[in-house]
Amino acid sequence: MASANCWRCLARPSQRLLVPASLLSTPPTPASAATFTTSAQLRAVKAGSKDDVNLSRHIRAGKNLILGKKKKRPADKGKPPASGERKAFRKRIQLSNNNALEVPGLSEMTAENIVDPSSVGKILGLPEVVLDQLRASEAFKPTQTWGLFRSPHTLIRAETVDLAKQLTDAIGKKETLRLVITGDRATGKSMLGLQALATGFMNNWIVINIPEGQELTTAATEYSQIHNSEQFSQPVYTVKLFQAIFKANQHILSQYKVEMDHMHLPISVNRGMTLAALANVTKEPEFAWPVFQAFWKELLLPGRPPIMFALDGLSHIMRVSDYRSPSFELIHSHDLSLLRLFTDALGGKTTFANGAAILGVCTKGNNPIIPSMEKALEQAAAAQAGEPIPPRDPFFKKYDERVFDALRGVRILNVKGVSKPEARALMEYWAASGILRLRVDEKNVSEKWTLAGCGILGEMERAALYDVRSPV
Amino acid sequence: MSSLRYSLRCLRDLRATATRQSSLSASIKAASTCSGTRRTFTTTTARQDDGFERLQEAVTQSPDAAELDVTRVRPMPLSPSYFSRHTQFNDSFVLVQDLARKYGRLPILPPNQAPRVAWKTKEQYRLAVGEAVKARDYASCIALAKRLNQIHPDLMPEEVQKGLRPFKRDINFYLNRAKPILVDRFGRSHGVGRRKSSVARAWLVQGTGEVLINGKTLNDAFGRVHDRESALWGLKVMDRMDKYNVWALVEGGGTTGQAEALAMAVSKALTVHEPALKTPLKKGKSMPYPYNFCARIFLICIKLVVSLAIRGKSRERSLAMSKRERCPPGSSDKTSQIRCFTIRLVGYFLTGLSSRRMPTWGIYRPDWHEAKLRTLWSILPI
Repeated sequence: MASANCWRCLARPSQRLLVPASLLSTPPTPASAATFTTSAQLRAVKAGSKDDVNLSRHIRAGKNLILGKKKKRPADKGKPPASGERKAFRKRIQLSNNNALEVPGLSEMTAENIVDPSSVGKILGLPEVVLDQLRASEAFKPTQTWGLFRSPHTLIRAETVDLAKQLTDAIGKKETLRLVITGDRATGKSMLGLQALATGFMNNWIVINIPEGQELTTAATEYSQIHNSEQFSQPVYTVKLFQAIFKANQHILSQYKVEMDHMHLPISVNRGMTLAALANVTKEPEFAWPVFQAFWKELLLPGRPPIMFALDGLSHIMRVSDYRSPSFELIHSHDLSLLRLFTDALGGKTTFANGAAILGVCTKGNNPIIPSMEKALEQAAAAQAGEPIPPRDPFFKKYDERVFDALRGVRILNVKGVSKPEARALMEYWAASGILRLRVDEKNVSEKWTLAGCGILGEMERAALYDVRSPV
Repeated sequence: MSSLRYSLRCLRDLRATATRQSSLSASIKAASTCSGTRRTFTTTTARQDDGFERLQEAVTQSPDAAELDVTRVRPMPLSPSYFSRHTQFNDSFVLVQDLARKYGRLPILPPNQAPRVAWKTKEQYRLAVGEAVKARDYASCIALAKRLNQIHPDLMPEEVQKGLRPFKRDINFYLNRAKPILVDRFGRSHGVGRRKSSVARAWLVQGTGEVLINGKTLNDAFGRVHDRESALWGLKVMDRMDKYNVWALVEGGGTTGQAEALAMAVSKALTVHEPALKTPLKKGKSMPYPYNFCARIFLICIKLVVSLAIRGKSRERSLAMSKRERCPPGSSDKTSQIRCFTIRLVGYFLTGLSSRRMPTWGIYRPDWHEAKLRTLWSILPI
């Protein structure tokens, strides 16, 4: 017969009678319960209002081993993040921070002072309008630390002025500037590209920006073969690009009207339509590429504003892409129509009547090593410096002729570290924003400058702002 | 033992006949010169010498000395301690003892002014001689040798130098002089540093703080900011980061080892340019004495207070058992609770203080530690 008592202890049932009556009824006050032991009292406190007090279990001080009951973890009340929410959070771009101090006395960037050599080493704010345009064209990167400051400002360095000058000079003469920005890792290449885009916006050029070359070649966006052609279009991306162009350049595009007949287009495009309307005419992926071609043709007509076409992550589009043709062969990136448009422009095959700036920005972070591109850039740099052009390696057979074509005769802008006065200006800005808690003097500036490998901007940021950067 | 002594005596007696074969006069001369420094181990020295002379006398005076033809000669050991356990050591020890007695009155230099000698250690001597010399004997011998070495160099006899030679190491490394490093004609100074299995060579030249390590910039060479800092630590603590350019080669080991090898190399090269920086740079290796002392006292105080706090806690008695135990909250009376709480608070505060004050034992960073030192001095009424 099962006993109500514990098998393992030898307490007799009659011993239960010894328990004071006060324990059995209401929970006693501490003073009255201390007659015999504190254990029952503790137990009563632990069990709370449950009916454990009826002493069907043995009273024992200390810990009770209760087997067979698993501790239930409290259910997670929160909703898990929806699909894509985490990525959106990771990729979000925060351009202002109300906790940061406002830095007084900084002027705004204009089309004039960006080409002025006296503004080298100054921190200039981006104007509101340009900010919106840059944001629409996705010029800001999630890895950049805009979120640490009250409002976006950039350092004008010698390279910035040099680049802006080259851009405005070339476009003023209605020439085409084809330029590749290259340099070590974290030297500020993308930031220089952003400054170039800002120059374009401030000078009222039509700015087309492909923020990540990688997005087009890693088979992450849809593609389809163009009829009667060997090329492939990327319709969804093209629609996205159209919208970015529309948002960023609306006020310029709306001043110009369509001048050609686009009879072949599946949608009706009238002559009186503005270019802005043309850019916004379709959200259908299947019509995107023909409309984009029509738009491009319109832009190339004489009398149109100058074009600035920029692409970040140049090395990603200089390789065989991850897309496959219907015969299951890998497609070269230059067979993707949008990229073909860019490489033709960069290689000088397209003629621009109104002046243009074609910018390719290299990336060194997640970077495929492409010998052809390296050699082509080396040759271009040598040609620019007037040195003997280094020949190709005769024993290397994997050179890609299309890469050499795409980079034929480009100018090279090799970005290096900033100078010490520029570094000082930057650190003073950080200190004024309240994120660098250090006295900005000769010693500290040169120390950070040296630790950052002769003023490499990203490394300066790392060395100086390591504690406050966002955990991206 | 007696048989051994007998055989020894026989041997000594036999020597006369053995040496007579080759050149009697030479052996006598040698015996006479050595008599001052040679000592035998038998108790019968006088008698034996006497016997030896008598035997010689007898041999020379005997009528048939000319016809005496020794047909069989047994080889004689050269050393009288041939049959002892440590033949060579015995000989040298005896020699040193005699020399010490003989030259004990020569003027000596104080020990710190005597020429430094790399003495053989006991193990080294054992290895060199091949005898298991006792530690005590060797110690007393080497003490005598050191005393002899203190004799004024101008008066140092040739004999003593010869006698001490077995106890000296072959190479006296105290005579080594470090090759002075100079700034070369291009204005570069060169330093070498090692750490774990990394070897770094650094060249410093006056400049603006540019650094090239293995042809790479500092950020390429070291991914961690910490490593970059430690590579240039010597320049950093001396505020010379913007005064010199560094060109360095480093190989072997991992990144941290390489960075710390570089720190050594850069510091050495820096002392070539500015020798006055050697002392503060060297001080970086170890903590100054008062800091250590203070810290120890401080820690002892903390331990004392904490242990008192714990004892105070355990002194509470449980109401039910009237035994010392950890009481459940609310069961002890008010005053003891308050006392307990305050003591615990002080204890926690002090432990927290100690862990915050001295987190990095052994790493001396001058700016940091000096600040801490000042606070320590202000806290402790020492």
